[in-house]
Amino acid sequence: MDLEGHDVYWQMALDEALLTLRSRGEIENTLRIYRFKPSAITIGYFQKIKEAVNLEFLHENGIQYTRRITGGGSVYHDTNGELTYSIVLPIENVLTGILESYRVICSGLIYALRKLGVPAEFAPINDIVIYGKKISGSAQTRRAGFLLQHGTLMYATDLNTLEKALLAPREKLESKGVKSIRERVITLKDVIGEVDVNVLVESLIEGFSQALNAEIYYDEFSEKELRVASELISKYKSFEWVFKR
Amino acid sequence: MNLYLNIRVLSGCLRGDFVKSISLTLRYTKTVKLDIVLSEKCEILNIIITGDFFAYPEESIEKLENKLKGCNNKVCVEETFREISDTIILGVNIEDLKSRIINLLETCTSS
Repeated sequence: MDLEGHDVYWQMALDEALLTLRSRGEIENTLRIYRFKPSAITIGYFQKIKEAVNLEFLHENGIQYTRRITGGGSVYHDTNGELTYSIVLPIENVLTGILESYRVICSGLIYALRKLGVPAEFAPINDIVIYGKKISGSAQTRRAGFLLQHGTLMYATDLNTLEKALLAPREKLESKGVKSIRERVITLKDVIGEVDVNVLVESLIEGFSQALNAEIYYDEFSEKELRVASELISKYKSFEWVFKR
Repeated sequence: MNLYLNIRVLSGCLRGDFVKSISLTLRYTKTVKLDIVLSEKCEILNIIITGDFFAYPEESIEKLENKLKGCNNKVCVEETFREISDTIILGVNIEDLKSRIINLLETCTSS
């Protein structure tokens, strides 16, 4: 749990470190729920950065950004309005099929949202929607029999900043029947008003426990986890990685 | 399936050789953009595949880009795609993507 938040380079480095260590059998299955501080952008592995984000706006407003090791689209991580989860698990049984594994893990989020009285639905491949609008997106990568899936939950995201920071291809907006990114997304605050983040976190933990039929316990990061993550930070800050496409 | 298509073609000289630079945006469940540079002989000099799709393993897209370089005909493109047939690509109609690349080469050759 990291609700105080850390910067985008650390958060992405830690997610990769956990996948690496889990795939080596050096750590247990792990769920993290965290925030980005300061607010930041992540883009998908295959995205061209200049076409995914408004770099001028990011630089003018001091918004950090990096590339993820997972595919998918660009995301605005608002310190005060968005929770991110990441989960590292072995690929087995219900998680073998990629599409099915998205559905299974996302069902944890849906459980949490429905518990709060929100009619959330899974929208394949990787989204959760409310009234047809996106409230959560997830992305997954796989390594040596293990998967890392991380994703967002917008509870009070500043949609004005999101709209200015992200660039969406006209074709994508047209296919969704909307004219702007803002028309396509929704926050929990829009649906049920102010949300107690601690209640949301508890609901998410219960949701993932149900979805994965798992018993969840709290733990601290080991020195090894922190060391491997520290070694990966430079990658997420590097021009070669961020601008590789 | 909604399929939107944008094509932008630029022609010019690169290091003295005449080249065509083509940008092609394809909309499947996810969006894919192809940036292709073709030589005067309609050979792929460079190709970059970008977008918000998913591929497992991710590295196979870079492998595909590298192997497509030098292709100038249907057989070569089909053989290259066959080499990554174990890759799972989500959000993209891979057969359609392959056909688009082949069409670009054939259009170039016939023009």
